[in-house]
Parts: sequence; structure tokens; C-alpha cells
Amino acid sequence: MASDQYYDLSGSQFDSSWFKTAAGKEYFSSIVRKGKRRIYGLLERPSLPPHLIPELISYKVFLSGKAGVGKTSTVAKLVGLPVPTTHSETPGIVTYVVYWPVKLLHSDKVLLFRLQFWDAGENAIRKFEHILPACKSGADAILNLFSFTDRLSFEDLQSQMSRSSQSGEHVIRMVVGTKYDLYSNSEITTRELQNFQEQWKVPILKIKNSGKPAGNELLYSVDSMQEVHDVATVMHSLLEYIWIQKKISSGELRPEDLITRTDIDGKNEGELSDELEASYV
Amino acid sequence: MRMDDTQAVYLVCLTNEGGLPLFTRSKGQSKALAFAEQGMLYGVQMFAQNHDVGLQSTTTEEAKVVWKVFHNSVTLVLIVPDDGCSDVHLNTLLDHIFHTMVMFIGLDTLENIKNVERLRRDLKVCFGVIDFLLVNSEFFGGLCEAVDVLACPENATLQEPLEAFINSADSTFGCLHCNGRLVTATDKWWSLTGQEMTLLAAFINTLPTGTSSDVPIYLPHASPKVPHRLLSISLLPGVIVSVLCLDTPTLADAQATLVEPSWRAYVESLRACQKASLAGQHIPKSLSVDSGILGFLLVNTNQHKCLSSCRLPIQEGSAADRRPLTHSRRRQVLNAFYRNTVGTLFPVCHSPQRTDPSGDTSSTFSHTVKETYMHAKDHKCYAIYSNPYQLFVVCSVAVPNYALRSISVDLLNTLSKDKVFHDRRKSS
Repeated sequence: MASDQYYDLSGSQFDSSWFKTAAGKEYFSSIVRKGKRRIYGLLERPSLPPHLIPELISYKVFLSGKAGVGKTSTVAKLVGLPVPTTHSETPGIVTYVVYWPVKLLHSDKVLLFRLQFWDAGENAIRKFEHILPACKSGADAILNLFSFTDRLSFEDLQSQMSRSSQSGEHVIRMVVGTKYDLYSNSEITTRELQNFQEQWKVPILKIKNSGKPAGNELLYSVDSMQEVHDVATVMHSLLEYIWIQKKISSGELRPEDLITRTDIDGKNEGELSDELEASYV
Repeated sequence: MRMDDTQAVYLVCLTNEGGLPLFTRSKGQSKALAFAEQGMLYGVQMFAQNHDVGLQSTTTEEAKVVWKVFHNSVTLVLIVPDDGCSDVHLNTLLDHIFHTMVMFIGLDTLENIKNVERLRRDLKVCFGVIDFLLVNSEFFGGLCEAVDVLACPENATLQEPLEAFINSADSTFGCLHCNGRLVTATDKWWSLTGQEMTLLAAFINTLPTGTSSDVPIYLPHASPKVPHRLLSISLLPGVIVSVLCLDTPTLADAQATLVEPSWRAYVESLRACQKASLAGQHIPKSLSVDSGILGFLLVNTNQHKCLSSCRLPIQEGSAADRRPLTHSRRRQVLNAFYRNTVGTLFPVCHSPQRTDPSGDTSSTFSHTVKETYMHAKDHKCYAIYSNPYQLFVVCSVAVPNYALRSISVDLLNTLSKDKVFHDRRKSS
């Protein structure tokens, strides 16, 4: 399944530029208000015109990683909430919901994803035993986070990967490197990342969650989709990967039909690093 | 001590044994306190302790420094600009801060500090609430040890779905908050102390918009050593229902199966509530308030709840319209007026009662002060103490002196008689 082979399938199923088209904007206008994405309570959902009602697909995604790597900031960025300016430990579990419409590349079908992120403070997980099971139960995917400026968080991640592969867990997994804007201070080399990817066959996304430079408010009012553009690449990679892996494990899709395999000996290295660059937010 | 910034506030937390810094927080533009300065603050206090003297506070030219030791294990030091107000409010703030720490990590961990490094890490969960308490906001709960409430016509309507929801979660403790203000709660929730309700409201208000959470909470007074789970679910952005429970239900179950049956039929009421809290008046539009009144704070010292607004609309063309006061200025005035009045003229109402009365100045009068007023260049204030109510009013300078009393009494009657601020506990 997901852990047997790593297929580079990104961009093969979802139309990655659809949200810029008029048809796509019609959907996105329901989840964007005044340049920012709308936040929904549990009793609400995006209201679309009746002729546009798409199929709703819900995923539960758990974020895991060392304290302080930026789990909360990453979720805030992805769902469209203000990224916290000072670090504060998450005291227990906090769940976030984001809606994201996607059009399939090979058909006219539009899917509306409802992604629920489960974020839990690392200290709380260690202190209270009910928290980790609650986060993992029924999770469709796990995002493992490390920080480019914290070598320990990357080493933690490696030991975590080997632990989970030993326990034979079958779960869809992606890796997210945070604080990519501080790349010049990176404590992890590109080579190490490539080795990591080859060893564990997981996609690695890179993200920077820092606040916008001042004066960008103006930009938002001119182009109301700016905030969506900012996270679109990461959201697409994330959703597409989970969606494809689910289809593969349910047998609806066969990977051989879809793609060229990313070889372990690094033949596709060029493509690989392209893909990594593309996921830069 | 020189203050670079007249608004700066510093908080230092140290172990009482050895003075190891646990954390520092600051408000305002100034840079953080240097390690040497923290050491000095501890040194002064240690010197006093070694001579069996309890050091409470000191004033410098510009600042006031307050020390407080909790359970012989944690020392908190607060440095604020000195504005001549009674120490009692600073001690209350320190008390809130310590109990915030209890709320998140439990009293046991704080009483017996074994591993300072780990404690430092654990305490990071408190920063959100502590920072919220240090900022002088439109919430008065921390100041008067009473939870901020929202009075809107939907209060009574929403009691029923709340009870149903809390029942379905196998609990008796639950409440509904709207943008940081309590809308309605179960009887058991009202039986918590004012401090507990205030700190819980502060925590729920610091949660990111639209999220749901499952957080271990030690009730600072009811259960400081055994944690409960506080489930908080955003029904609408800013409208959050919370329930205190033990092992069940899980957050996923509560989200998936408990919310819909109880709340779906009440979405419109919830929306009305959400709208009312955003308008900032916090009282129903139907209530008539004199146009000279710019802001007010009403405290019910029995039930430990307070109702306030600094955003009452100014009628166009009215006398108050000629020299309008900004919202933040009204808040400042109200805050300063409260701190100047309570602890000096009016009695302080601690919730829960504190055994250590430091800072509570005993009244210098042989009689009970019932009313007081104050004039300034750009505003006038009036306060009434009519047990259990304490009312503080900010008026426009345009209101003539002789009318101050009558419009304040009218406001007190309107608010205390109207059902919006009524006691919704069944027991009383």
C-alpha cells in the first residue's frame, strides 16, 4: 500500500490551475470573503448555488512533530487563520476545518474537500495518554512536521518513521518542512532530504508560515484570491496525494496506469527537486 | 526603576527556592527584562524572606513592583506603571496568573517542583491566557473577579439546547460563550468561583476562531489536582459551546453525533447572539439608555458576573456628540475609575474568598460608601454600590452634574430589573 512504493503522482489527477479560471472562481467565491477565506463553525458549511453542489469528501489529518516546529502555525496558514506571532504550546487537542474545491483533470467533476486538521501539543501528548489515540483514531493521513532550523526535529522524525514502520502501521503519511523562509539558516541539507525521501518514500512539502510584509493588505483588496494562491500548491499536493492513495488502496485506481515511477536509484532526481520547489509556499 | 514605555507591564515567574527563572512575559514596546534584573528582583525578595519579612510591594518614581509567593514554591513579580491605584488589583492579577498555571498543569506539579527544565516547557501552555490577562482589554472579568456576560434576548432561548447538549454529553458543567462573553450556563457552571469562570472564559476566547478543542483542565479551586477534559466546539465562528467531562464523550463523537440534535434548530438564535456580541453594546437594543452615557460596568458580586459596554452609540446631534470619546478612551476611563473606587471606597469582592488579604485596604470610613463621582476634562464618572450590584458609569461632559445621579440610578434599575441580567440559576 502507501508504504510499499512511492509514486510521484502529483499533478496527474487534479487540475492545479482550475482555481484561477472563471469556473473555479465561482466555487472559490463561496469560501472566500473580503480576500480572506471564510471560517466555518460546526453548524455551517459553504453555501454554493444549487447547480454547483459538488460531492463532499471529508478527511481527518493529524499533525505530528516536535514541540515548537510550527504545527499550529502551519494549520493556521492552511485554513486561513492569522498565524500566531508568539510561540505558545497547544494545551491539548485543537481541531481546524477547511473546505477546498478541486476539479479533476480528466473529467468535469468537481469535488469539495472538507479537511479536518487535528493539532495537539507535544507536551500534552506525553502527559495525558488519551490525546494521541484520539488524534490517530480514524485519521486518513498523518502529516509529520520538522523545522528547517531545528536539526533535532528532523532526527526525531527519522526515528519516528522507523518506529512506525516496525510496528507495521499502514497510514498515509506526508512530511512537511516548516520555516522554509529561513532556508539560509537551514540545518538540513538537500542531500539529506533526498535520502530521506528515497528511504521512506513519502512526499516532502515545504512551507513558510511567516506573516506577510507590511503593506500587502492593499494587494489583498486588489486581488481577492491572493490568500488562496498562497496556499493552493500545498493544499493541492496534500489533497491529491491523500485522494490518490485512498483510491489505490480501495483498488479504484492502479498506480501503473497513472504514472512513471520515481526510481529509488534517483533517476528522476531532476523531476523530484522540481516537485519540491513547486511545493514551496 | 526607569520605564522606557509608560504602558509597559512586566511579569517574572521564578522558583521560590533558588530563584530560577521559569518564564517572563511583557506587554508594550519595551525590551524584555535582562537576566540580571530578574535576579535583582528575586534578590530583594529573598533578602526580606531571610529576615522573616514578607515583601509585598514597592513604588519607584514611575513604576510599582509587586511580589507574591504561592504555596512556598512559585514567586511572581509584576511591574506596572504606577497610577496610584490600590495594590489589591495587582494582587488579584497575580492571583489570576498563578491560578492560570494551576488550571493548565495542576497544583501538584507547581507545589513540588522536581524538574525545572520540564516545568518551563509545561508552562508554555499558559502564555495565551496570561498574555490575555496582562492586556487591558474590553473584558472586565479579570479585574472584578466576575465573568463577563452578554445580555441579549436569546439568552433564555438558548438555555434549553444547552441543557440538552450537556445532558447528552453526560455532564452537568457546561456553558455557551460568544466572542469571550458568557451567554448561558448550567447551574453547576454558575457554582464555580468567579475566578474559575473568568479564567475559563479567557482560555476559550484565546482559542483560534472556528476550531474545536479537547483540553485537560484542572479547576483551580474545585479540582486543582485532578484534571477534567474541557471540550469546546465552535458552533459558529466565535460562538462556542463548552462542556467539562471525564473520559467520554470523545471530541470526535461530540462533534459528529451530539452537536446536530441539540443545536441545529437554534442556528438563528445563535446567529442573533453572534451579531449582538459583535455590535459591542452587549445589551438588547430595546433597552433605553440615556444618550449621555458612553459606557458602563455593572458587577453582580453575588453571582460573580459582570456586564459592560464601552461602545454605546452616540446619538447624532446630542450633547455627547459634540465632544465624543473614543471607544478605547472610554475603556481606559472605566478601568481606571473602577480601580480607583473599589478597594478604597467600595469593598472588594474576591471570588473565591482569599485568605491572604494583602492589598485590601480596610475602609477609612465608619460608614458604607454608597455612591461616588468624579469629573475630568473630557468625561464624568458616577458609581453606585447597592448590594449585590456595583455600577460604574462613564458620561459625556455634556451631562450636567445634577443629572449624573439620576441617569445612573435609572440605568441600574433598567439593567437589574430587566430579565437580561437576571439570575438564571434555578436554585436561587
